[in-house]
Amino acid sequence: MLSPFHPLQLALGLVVWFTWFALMYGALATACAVAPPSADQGTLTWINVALLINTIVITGLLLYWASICWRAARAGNKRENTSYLFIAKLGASINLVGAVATFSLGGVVLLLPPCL
Amino acid sequence: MNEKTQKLPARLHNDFMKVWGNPQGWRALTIVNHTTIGIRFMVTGGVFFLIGGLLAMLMRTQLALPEQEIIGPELYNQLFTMHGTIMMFLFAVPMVEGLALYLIPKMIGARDLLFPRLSAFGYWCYLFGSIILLSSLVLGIAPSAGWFVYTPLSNEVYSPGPNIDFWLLGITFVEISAVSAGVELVVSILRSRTSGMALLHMPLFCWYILVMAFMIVFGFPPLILGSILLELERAVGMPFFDIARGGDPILWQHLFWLFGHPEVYIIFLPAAGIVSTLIPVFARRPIVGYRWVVLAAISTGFISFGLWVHHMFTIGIPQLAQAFFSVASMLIAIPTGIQFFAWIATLWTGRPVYHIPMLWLLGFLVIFLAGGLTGVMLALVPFNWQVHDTHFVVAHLHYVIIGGMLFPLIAGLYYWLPHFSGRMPSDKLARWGFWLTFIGFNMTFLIMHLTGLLGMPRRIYTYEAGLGWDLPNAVSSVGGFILAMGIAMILFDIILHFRIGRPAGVNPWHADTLEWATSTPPQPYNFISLPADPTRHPMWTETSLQATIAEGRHTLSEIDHGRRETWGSDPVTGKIRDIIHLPGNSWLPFYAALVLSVLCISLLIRTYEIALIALLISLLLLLRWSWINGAHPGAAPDARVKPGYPPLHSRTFDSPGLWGMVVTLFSDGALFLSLLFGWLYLWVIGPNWQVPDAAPLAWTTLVIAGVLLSGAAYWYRRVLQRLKAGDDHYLQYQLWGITTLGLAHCCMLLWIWTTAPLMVTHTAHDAVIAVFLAYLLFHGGLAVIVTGLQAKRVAYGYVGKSVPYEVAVLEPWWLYTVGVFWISLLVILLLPSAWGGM
Amino acid sequence: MEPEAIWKTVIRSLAPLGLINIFFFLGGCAGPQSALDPSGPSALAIADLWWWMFGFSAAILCIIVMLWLYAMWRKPPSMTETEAYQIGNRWIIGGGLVLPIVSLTLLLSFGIPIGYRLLPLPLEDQNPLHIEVIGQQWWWEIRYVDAGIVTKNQLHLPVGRPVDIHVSSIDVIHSFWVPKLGGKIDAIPGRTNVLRLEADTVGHFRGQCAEFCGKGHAEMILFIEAHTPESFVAWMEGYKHE
Ligand code: HEM
Ligand SMILES: [Cu+2]
Ligand SMILES: [Cu+2]
Repeated sequence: MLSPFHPLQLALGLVVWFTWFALMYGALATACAVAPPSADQGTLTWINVALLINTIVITGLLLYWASICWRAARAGNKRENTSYLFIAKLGASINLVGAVATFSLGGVVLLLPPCL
Repeated sequence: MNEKTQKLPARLHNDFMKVWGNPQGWRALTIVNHTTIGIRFMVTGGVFFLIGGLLAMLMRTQLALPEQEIIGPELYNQLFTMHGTIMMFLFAVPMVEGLALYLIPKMIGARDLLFPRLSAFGYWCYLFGSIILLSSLVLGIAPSAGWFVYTPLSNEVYSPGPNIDFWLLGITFVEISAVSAGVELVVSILRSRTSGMALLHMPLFCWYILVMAFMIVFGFPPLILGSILLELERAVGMPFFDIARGGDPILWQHLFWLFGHPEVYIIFLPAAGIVSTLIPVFARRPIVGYRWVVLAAISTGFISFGLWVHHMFTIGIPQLAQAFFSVASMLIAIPTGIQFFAWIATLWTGRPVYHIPMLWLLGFLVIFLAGGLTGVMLALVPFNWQVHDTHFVVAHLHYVIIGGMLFPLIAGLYYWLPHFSGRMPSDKLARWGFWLTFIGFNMTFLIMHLTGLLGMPRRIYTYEAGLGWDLPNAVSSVGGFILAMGIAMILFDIILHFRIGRPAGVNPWHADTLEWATSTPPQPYNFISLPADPTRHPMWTETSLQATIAEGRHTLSEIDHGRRETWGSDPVTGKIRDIIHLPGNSWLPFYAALVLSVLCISLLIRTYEIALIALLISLLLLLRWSWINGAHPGAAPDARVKPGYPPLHSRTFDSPGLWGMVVTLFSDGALFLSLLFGWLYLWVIGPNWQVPDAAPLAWTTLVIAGVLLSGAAYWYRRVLQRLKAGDDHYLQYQLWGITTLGLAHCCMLLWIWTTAPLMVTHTAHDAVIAVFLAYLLFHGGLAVIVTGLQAKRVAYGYVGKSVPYEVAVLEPWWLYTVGVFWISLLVILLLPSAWGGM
Repeated sequence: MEPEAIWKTVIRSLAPLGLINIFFFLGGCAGPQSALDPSGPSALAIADLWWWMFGFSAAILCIIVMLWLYAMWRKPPSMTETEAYQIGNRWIIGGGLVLPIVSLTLLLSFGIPIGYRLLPLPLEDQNPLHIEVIGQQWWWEIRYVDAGIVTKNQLHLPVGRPVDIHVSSIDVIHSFWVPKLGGKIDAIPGRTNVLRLEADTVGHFRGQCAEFCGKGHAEMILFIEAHTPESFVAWMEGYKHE
């Protein structure tokens, strides 16, 4: 994976979030166009389950990245140039924001039926 | 200090002015300097604000009482459309861009932006595009479908006549300017900070502008694509948005709001940047939570791309999808909250002093916060269903835009006024101006929330008496006029201060950032010498900075070579990598924009022969523009630098030009993704999507064309690699060879296109394929032309082993062209078979 | 900043708030097209939601503005940079993270269930009345499909029975909206959207096109009459005889 000191860390977590979000929205629309579950099935449909799993995986990934950045920032305190420490710390929080955003959006699939 | 250095400042100034000075009279049209361009942007934007405000006053007059007949529906519809359009496209975005163009180089210790001719070009595009758009208002044929021009209302059937064409063409023209400024700002912030200014030393304003510039780069292309498609539908009859022929009007809404929502934050972020700049200065301490604020700015930038559907909650998409966007919209409240509390904490721990800009920031706080709170309400789907498209939304959007952009902007205006003019504004008039504006604003728009809740839709030119809307509307109209008086007062104050304001002296607010180390008003070169290793608050750590800079005691103060130079530095650490030499004044940007506006007008009146001629001429001008670079006598024929200095950028492979190319390709890629989105969207969602029985394109010929293209690109890569290894044997012939190969590709593509049985006016399916082909042809064609140009420059000795940078600049373009070719092929050819001819 | 100036500022900035309150309490919310004067369960749920949100937001607005003013006015004790850093962090985490997250969770936990209940879900005990509404420049065509009745700009409903309005358009986009009954839904060519409404009081209401649709947009008005079930049947019978 990308080095925790790479400047792209300032965007990566949220790029992943956005991509995930766009795909999730697209997948939902496609699923509802192709195989809509019946209305009285409520929120327990294959679509909701698939989206939920997807959410959990991506949230986990982003949290993992956040922890890598964070630990690198901690460990690098002495060795690294402050510019790169700054990036690792900021990168950790960007990845964390991505994880929070992913989880809070994806959590909604627990509450609503998919295609109504 | 010896005698020689003591005489220096005046002499240095004269020497610098010989290189950097701005011409007078007609030749002022050739100026490319960022200070001048920034001011031009802001003044022009200010004029459009007044025009837009005038239209608003007309609307408020008509709505003041029920059942009035002062303004009829046709005119009213033009008024609100033009008011919204002017305010968003011709005032808000250019204004914040102008401020950024003016300030950024000064804040990062550079002498100019990195693509000065592009700044000038952007300004002229903006000016000419706006004039074209406004002329429609004068002619009485202004666009009248609202500022988001929803189809089908805006198509040829329901809006015959040129009204909508003015919008589509004029705005696209203005957007060219926005995107070019976006690219330029990104690259300048990343690559031209003064020696040793690491990312973490950058003033917060620069962070905000960096995020804004990236947002422009990614946010505008969806609308540019949408406008092109809609104009094609109107002019040629290609049915992208027509239900009957397989298109979908909702696609337009997606494309528009994919742009439209980020747009709001494109306007807000620079304003928040102003707030984050001013608060520490007046709180007399560094900002609390620098990293928090940077995090908030970046998060806001990203999250705002995931909210667009909240403008479409009533079109009937599934509630679950709506809930995604509802939650995403609320998430944005968190970074906003972080910024608010960082500001409060800064005031809390500082020793605030109280000046006029702080008053405007207080106004910002109250109004923007209220607007943000109603925004959270609107993000809640059930509530949105009631108040969407009512005056509640009109109130909300003015609270966020005026509170979130205009108030900080005026705060900034007062703050930087001494910088623009060297004089201080008057306290008394400024107070009157503030209170009139603040009270007038709240009177107009606070009550308007109620008007909306009482059921008044937006965009209606009149209403019946007795619905409970009479009193609130009357109050709003009176408030509107008070607001107008406030604005007039501010204008008066500003004009007056140029004559009677007392001289500001050095750094009148005791600010911390580098722009106050220039003279006030600033000289075109900004700094005689560029300070090295600045802290986050250079003016606080080194109070005599202004003097020592003017005395030439810092870096890069030689000028006898006659080049305009600034540092090129590492994007992260700010360590110096190269010296960037900048082009001087030029007529080319002006002429190119002029010819493009001829193109725009001829498309408007649908005389396509003239359009074609204008297109060719503008291409020639742009080619001439890229000719004068590198070792050309008009640029930097002599590459000698002081011993110990890094090389000139045109003598390296990793130049700002390369960065500019990559950022441009980001924007281009966003356009391509939007097109891809449109294609997939129509496949999946389009209610009447029709696929022809036989695939319209033969895959064999397409694959051959693709192989030719890939071969050319591969060859190009090899050439570049060898050049990097210092080998430029047969460079010219190889480039010609690549050109020929690319040309063969283009011819083949053209042949495929012209012989394919595409019925572009019958089905959206074929129409989208045609757009894909045109897109590919454009990229292939341009690759060929510019590579040929470089081959020619090799012959002239402008490109070669020692001046390699343009060869490096073009490489990403080739790779991108190959990439989009194969992706397009994949989705055009594979999707139908994967879908099983559904 | 002087304390006196602070008070002036506070009063001046809150004056407009006072104004809006006066309107509300003068009963300014009534009206034939007012979303704050509900005549059906959907509109009522949304109106209640609004009043809660309004109160909560007004409180937040006041608190933050006061805080800002106080921060400007107070003379801070001298502190080291570390202390300032800690205080700052506390403000940012408390106000910038905890406050919005708690508020938004609260809001969503009310809002999403309300939204769910507005959906045209299958009913257990009865069938909703099926009405088709076709928007066109610039009037509404109302079709009672089962009864074979077609009217122009007149929508008649029985009280107490859910109604499913199937909304579409034959030209440009319009939006069907009867504020006293509930939210709006767009009428889009090529699509049919369903809006579940129910009236719970007899009377005349007004609806209006809410999506800009051209020159006649302001005149695209819909008149609604909610009948008792008996008089609704009578209206249908009478209509058929004409
Ligand atoms: C100077 C005071 C202003 C007044 C009195 C005012 C008034 C109005 C009015 C009456 C409308 C039309 C409402 C309707 O019929 O739907 C409107 C719409 C709008 N205004 Fe303003 N406005 C002002 C400033 C601004 C500013 C500064 C901006 C943005 C920078 C702005 C952006 C808009 C937009 C985007 C619309 C929507 C246009 C549309 O519906 O297509 N306004 N304004
Ligand atoms: Cu939005
Ligand atoms: Cu309408």
